[in-house]
Amino acid sequence: MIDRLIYYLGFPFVRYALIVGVLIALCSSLLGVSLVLKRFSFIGDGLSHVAFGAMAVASVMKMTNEMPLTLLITMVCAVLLLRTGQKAKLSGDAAVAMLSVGALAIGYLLMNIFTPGGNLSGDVCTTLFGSTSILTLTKGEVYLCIVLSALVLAAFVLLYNKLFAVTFDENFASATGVSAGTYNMILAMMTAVIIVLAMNLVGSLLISALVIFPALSAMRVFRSFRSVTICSAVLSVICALLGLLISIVTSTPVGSTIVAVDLAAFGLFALWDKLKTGGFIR
Amino acid sequence: MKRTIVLALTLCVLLLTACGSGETAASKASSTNTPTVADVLNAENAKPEEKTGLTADQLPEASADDDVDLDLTQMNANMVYAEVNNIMVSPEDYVGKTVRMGGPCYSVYVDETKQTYYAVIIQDATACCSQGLEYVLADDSLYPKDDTEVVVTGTFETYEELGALYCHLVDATIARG
Repeated sequence: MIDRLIYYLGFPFVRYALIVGVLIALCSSLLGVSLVLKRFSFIGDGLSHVAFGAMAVASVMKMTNEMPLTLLITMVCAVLLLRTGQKAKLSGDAAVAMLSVGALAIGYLLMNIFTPGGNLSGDVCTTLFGSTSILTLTKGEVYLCIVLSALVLAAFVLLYNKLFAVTFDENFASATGVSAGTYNMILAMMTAVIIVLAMNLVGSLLISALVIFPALSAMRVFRSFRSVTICSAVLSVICALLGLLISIVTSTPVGSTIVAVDLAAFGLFALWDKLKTGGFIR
Repeated sequence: MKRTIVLALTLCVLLLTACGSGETAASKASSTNTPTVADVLNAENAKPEEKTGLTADQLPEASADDDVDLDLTQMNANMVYAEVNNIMVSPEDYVGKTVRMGGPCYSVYVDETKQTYYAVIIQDATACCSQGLEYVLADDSLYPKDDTEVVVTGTFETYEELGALYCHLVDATIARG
């Protein structure tokens, strides 16, 4: 099995998949902590469906590179969702649900009517479940992913204190002069970027797992924001790497395998927490 | 029968899917005329003699040949799918290389060129996406029946037809899969 893995690592597309997989896992887990604590766990799911709809529009328009339009539409929707949530004319979860199913339906409808490719079910399957799309990245897509991930990581590190303040108590943050609206907006935009990137890794239906599982697992064992964030990042990268390697060697679907590993890690952390609270571990 | 129609339709789409750099095979397909089920049925009915071929038992045994640059039969489904996608996206990197591939083979007659094309279908692990690679045998008498599992070894080449770039393995040899 090791020989086979070494043989497969000789292919450039496998190395691209590992680089992109690690970067996406790292970025999504960092944002995941804030999103889970702010009770925005489901926003990732909603935005990923928006990204699916946007990708369908780009396909119908026969755009050679679908990412810029997908990114733009997803970011706009992320900002709109956030604003709707604050003004509360339409409650946050209702807005997410509406946008989520609406974008999914419109996306599929457009793809069906205009049939951008010969293999519609294949295109839809690839977009929704990732399929093997992480193994079919071009060099350009890898560079774009590296740049966007670096931007997200830099923003997270530079704005760590502000994001921390906004995550726990927006009112207190506002009272101390932090513009909660602006930082919420930045968080939403960073989430949109990661979701568009993560569609290649796990597909739009499974993105939420990449965002919430590492954070939830880390929260089972650690208590402070910093330790949860660090644990979540490390765990997410390990799970993504493990999932990718298992998938490459055993030929299972990449996205589902990564999510299964994340789920197993959550189970282990939950067990650890139970044993700890039960007094079996000191 | 339904399965045959679906497979024939898939093959038509795959054969009409040109390869080229900077654009995936799937996105190129959007610029071609995708045949309808009726087109495929007409083609099948019009050329019944093209559907004859050798059974798996009549094909030669696969021999161990190390002189292969890219052996797709040694890879698992995910890797084969990714590598074939790579071939479709950057065919220029593979021209002149000896490639070996395995899987079910299918044929389709295309009216515009008045030719029958043969391809091996490669499916990914989720079985929702499939790609095919066309081959031209050195020995015309060895073309197999549709749905026969085969191993084909040939030299990778590109060619232009009806204004699009296509890929195929030429001077190919065939063995039972």
